[in-house]
Amino acid sequence: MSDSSSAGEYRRLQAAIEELLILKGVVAREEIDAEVAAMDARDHTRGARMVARAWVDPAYKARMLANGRAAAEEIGIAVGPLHLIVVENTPEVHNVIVCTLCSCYPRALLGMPPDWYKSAAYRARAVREPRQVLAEFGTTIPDGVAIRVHDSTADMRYMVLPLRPAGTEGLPEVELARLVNRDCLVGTRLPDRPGPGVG
Amino acid sequence: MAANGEFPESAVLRSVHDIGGLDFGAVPLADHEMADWAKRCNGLSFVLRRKRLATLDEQRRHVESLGASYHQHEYFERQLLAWAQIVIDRGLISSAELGRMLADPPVPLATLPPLGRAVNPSDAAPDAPPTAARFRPGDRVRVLKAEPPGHVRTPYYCRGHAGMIERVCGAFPNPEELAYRRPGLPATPLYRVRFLSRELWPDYAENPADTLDIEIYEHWLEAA
Repeated sequence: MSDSSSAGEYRRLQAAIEELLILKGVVAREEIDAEVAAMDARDHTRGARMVARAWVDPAYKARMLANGRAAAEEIGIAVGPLHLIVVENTPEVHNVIVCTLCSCYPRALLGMPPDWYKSAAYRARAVREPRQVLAEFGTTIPDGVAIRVHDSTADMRYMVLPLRPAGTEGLPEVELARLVNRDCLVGTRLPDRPGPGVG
Repeated sequence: MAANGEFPESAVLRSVHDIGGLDFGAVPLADHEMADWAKRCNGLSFVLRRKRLATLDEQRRHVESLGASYHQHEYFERQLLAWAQIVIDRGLISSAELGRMLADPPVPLATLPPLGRAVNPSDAAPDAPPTAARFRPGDRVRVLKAEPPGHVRTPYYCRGHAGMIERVCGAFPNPEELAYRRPGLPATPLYRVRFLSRELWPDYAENPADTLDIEIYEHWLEAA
């Protein structure tokens, strides 16, 4: 990336701010390094573990729906002061998460949101024509199922508990977790189906 | 990101970031690796917020202040531009210092003006008890139909509409105050309000049972 490009300008601006704040003793470089490393280490597999556990353990599911943060911590996933609401898909209701005002996302649990989640198109349209938007992801929600959109714009953060896919009876929890893709935790896709070699 | 959305002419005070219900075309599904500078900007924002040197709502306010250029920038470009404003606004670094740092050709660090002391505005003194919640789950409420300037977290599309309290989320410092470096206390009750989508959007063409839940602070709600 050449320094004359706009990407170079952002890079220089970021570096200058960081350098000055370090020079003044406001922050230490190691503190920023630690935040970057911690964020890099978070991804959707943390949420997937919670989902898989909820699929096999109804008591855990009840605790997760009552208190998302406590349920994450119960299985060793640190999320800090996150206010996590887990919304459950049922045969009657399919949940979809959006933030129309910026891009609020449970980063402390799932890491950074995908680019589409931050796009103006998703933010603007998910509240108004959720089925059309989901169709662009290749996801069809039957007409008889109500869609519940959650506009995440304040202090809570949201994760979808998807329906357990058919044909996964008897699959161990660790394999169930592999079926839980990132987007199904936002509600724009469904969990993967087990492959022919599985189960 | 291209700006295809058109804002209704009547809503002159609708901020550029408040886009729920507008049309911005197809959702771009391609994902990109975050640039290093974006990761560091994000990490820096966490560090500064943890040290209580700035709030998330200040970041949002500055992002929203980008005006017409908002949609020309990508997400982390907006965030970086916001943080450049915050560190100056907070007195953590001066605009002049940043200017020298970015000068072409570079100005040697030794010629920087004397470094100021870092300030800690020590924002919130969370002693004041939170305001007691006025509404209970199941109560019918209406969102105020108002267009106050400034940083608010109540999207346009739900203003003036009636819904039902889904739950009380607790009490939180008022973001409309946090954005301006005031403590936002006492903490104000926050609710999740459930609306029928077809009542929010007159032309709603999907399932009539579809709903939308959104968090609304109490001072935006009246009994319906």
